[in-house]
Amino acid sequence: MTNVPIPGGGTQARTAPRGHASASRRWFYAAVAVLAGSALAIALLAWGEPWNLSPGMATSFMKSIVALVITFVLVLPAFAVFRYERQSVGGRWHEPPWRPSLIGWLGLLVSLGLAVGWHGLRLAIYVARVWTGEL
Amino acid sequence: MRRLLSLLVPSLIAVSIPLVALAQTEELPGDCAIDEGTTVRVLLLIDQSGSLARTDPDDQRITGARAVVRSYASLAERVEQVEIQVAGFGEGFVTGEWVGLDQDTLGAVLEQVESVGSVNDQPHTDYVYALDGASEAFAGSSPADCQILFWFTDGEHDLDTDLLPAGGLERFYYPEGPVTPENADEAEALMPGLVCEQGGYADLLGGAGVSAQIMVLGDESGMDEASRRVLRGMGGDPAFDCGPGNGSFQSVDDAARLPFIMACASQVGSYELADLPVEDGRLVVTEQTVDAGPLPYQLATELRLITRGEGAAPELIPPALADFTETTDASSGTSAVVARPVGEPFTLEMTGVAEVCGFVTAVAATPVVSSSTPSLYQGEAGEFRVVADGPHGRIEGTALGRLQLGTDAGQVGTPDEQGWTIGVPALPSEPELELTVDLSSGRGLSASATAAFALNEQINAPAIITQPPPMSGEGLGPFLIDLQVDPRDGGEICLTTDSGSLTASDDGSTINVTAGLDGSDCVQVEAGGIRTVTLGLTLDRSGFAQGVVNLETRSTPSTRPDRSEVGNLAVDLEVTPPANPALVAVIVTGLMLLMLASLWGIVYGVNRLIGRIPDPRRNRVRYANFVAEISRTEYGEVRLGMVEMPVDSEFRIPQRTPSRLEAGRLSIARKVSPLPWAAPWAEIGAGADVVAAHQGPGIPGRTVVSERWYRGRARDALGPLVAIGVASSQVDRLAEGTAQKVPGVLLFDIREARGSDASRFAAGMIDESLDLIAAEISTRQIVEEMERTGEV
Repeated sequence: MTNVPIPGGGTQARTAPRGHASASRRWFYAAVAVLAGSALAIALLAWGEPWNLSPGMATSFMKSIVALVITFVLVLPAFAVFRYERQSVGGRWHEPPWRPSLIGWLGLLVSLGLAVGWHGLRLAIYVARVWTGEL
Repeated sequence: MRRLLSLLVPSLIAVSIPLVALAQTEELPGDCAIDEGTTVRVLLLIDQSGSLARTDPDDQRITGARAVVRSYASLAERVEQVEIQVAGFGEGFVTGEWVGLDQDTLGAVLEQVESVGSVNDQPHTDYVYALDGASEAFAGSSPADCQILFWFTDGEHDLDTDLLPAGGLERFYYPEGPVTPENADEAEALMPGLVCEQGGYADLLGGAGVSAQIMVLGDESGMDEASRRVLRGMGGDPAFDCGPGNGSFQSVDDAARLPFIMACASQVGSYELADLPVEDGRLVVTEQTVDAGPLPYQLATELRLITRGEGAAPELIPPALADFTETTDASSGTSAVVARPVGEPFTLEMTGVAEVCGFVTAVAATPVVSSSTPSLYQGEAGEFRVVADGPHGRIEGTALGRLQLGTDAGQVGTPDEQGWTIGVPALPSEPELELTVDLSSGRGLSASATAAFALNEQINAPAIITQPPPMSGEGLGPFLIDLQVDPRDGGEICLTTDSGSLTASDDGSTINVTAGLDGSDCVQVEAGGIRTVTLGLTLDRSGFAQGVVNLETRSTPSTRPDRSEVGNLAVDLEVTPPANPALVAVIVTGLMLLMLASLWGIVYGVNRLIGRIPDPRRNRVRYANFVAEISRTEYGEVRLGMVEMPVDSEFRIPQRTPSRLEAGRLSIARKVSPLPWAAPWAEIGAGADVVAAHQGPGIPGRTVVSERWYRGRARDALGPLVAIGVASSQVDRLAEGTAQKVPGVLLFDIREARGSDASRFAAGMIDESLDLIAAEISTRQIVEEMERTGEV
């Protein structure tokens, strides 16, 4: 398909000011970059870590906390920007070959998956162990 | 000859016993060390003077001399040869013959003792002749390693004037002529010079390596100075300046004690047990008594107890020892017990004991050297193990602390319960190491051993080819880890260190870890391909801990069972306590749901945010109501025309909230799905049963006909949008051919009308949109008709 917009790319029906279009595209690409970078960072924070947390593992503990902070502070706002810019255009997408939307969605899924399924789950298990008095 | 009778001097009894104690060491008299190659020669010189009939009427000297002979006969078992000559002296020297002494010849020698010792009719006691004969006896044969003169006499040097023959007595050392009562004193006076001066008999005997053991019956303090000088001087007292001082001296005042004293004095080649406890005539000797001596009792091979009772020989309570002999002499009340302990605790008990001397024969402990370092390499440190074998087996425990181990090859550590460790900091650059150790069990008892150890020797012991991966788990285990083992030549792998510890991360306490290979400490592997051995780790208690457990291994090839290789397994182990699965699952589920709920809430919020209705004020959006008429043409097509167009004064600002916009009859409501991946949308309706709208113009523009509302976007609130609402009744009447007036709403950015009248601009937009809407309705009706009739 041609003639379908990308965020900030403008439409034939409503041509936004050029400055506004450029800013919108930058925000969209920035959101994609943040989503992809966050996914990579969260994955690195999980790399080589043991599954079970114990009281002496301060570094591992902090890694999981940092991963969750990244999720809430970076990933979700980036996803909001990503979706707003995408939603603001409407209609079908005309994207570059590297498919920024696909990268954004994959970044979001990887970030949430690791944050919830690895960092969050082992933190939850640790909290549960502490809670049940196993320390 | 004056006789020394001091039988009733009790104080001397006490003096004589300690003197016995000084007589015995592991060496023979004269500091002559003994071993299997030693030759010993003993001259037993017995006084035959007539005074013995009075001083020793019961011939106790014979009994004592027998004990001396028996003692040296027992020594013959431990040396190469013992020769003995039994000689007598009085007026002259009665020589005997050198006889090899052992258990076979013992009887014959004892008969000689009886023969020589029973003579007591010599009128004089001439020391010069005695020592001259002794010198000739020792000089007339090849010297032995140890030469001993055991000299018994009951009195001083004396040429008794009353018993001199009428023509005088020829003495070779008195060349002036026969000794007569007139010159007897002068002749006697020559004796100390002949014996003690330089070149005298004392020097002569000392120079020949002869050690004099002198036994005097009577009170030596009452002797004349000349005789006392000779006896005490040759007996080893340097104060008397007679001879080399390598002898020993002993006196006994009671002839009844003579066998006892002589027996004690002749116990050569043994060490004495000092201060044996005798209480109320009861003597108890145990292994602790032996242990109190210079050697541990585990080295003792023979225990001799010489005892004397008052009036009768002491009685031995039969001990538990299997090997013991008892010899008693009723006339002197002397008893000799020879027992052979076996290195185990024992007890010897005797009653009726007045005095005692005890001796122990021991064997040096033998060192046995082995390598503690399984594989020795040049330049690296090596550790060796030395244990001590005694006559009754391996010596262990505190007894090792009494032995002295030495070597020039390394550093000897303090002995533990089993032996010593020798550390060699750097093994030599040679094919093998010869390690020689010397083990001293005490004075005169030492043994050495030399062992050779190959260096840099290659062995094909089974090997664990990879370190175990990190292991984590909960509870006590066992935590099982598969190890890949290359069997090489086959053999055995053992865990030499099968335990370790972890530090609990919560309270810092220690958690002990026990390891095993396939359930045991060792596992056998056959030669062949790589195989898997399971390492099991078990905790003594559960807890939170993480750390490395180091386990030492020893691999021994089946082809060289004497060699082995050591290795180390480092297991990165992480453990946690066993959890309550149900409770943990509930909590984890709750936390995960909470987390997912948080994420959902945020994403839902994001959707609501991006799905909000844009603010019409910010975009100058206005709306205006209009009225259109809908009718049908003769061809059935729908036609829409504007009946009442909006005027400029009727353009109004829509009522807007983020979730809803109201523009006259037109409403736009934001809709956000609870599914976070569903994009938000807007429901657009015209307050009627059917809504028809046109958004445009351009590609994004579209014409929509729907019931009640259609699905649009929040941004549609910015216009341009023309929508009409048609009631169902109007639709019915329209079908009957009646034109209907329908309300409509125009929503647009009033800035687009810049430069012209807004109402006129709006009228153009409405006309264009109504035409498109009418076309869309017509098309839908045609499609519906075709669907109804089945044409499509």
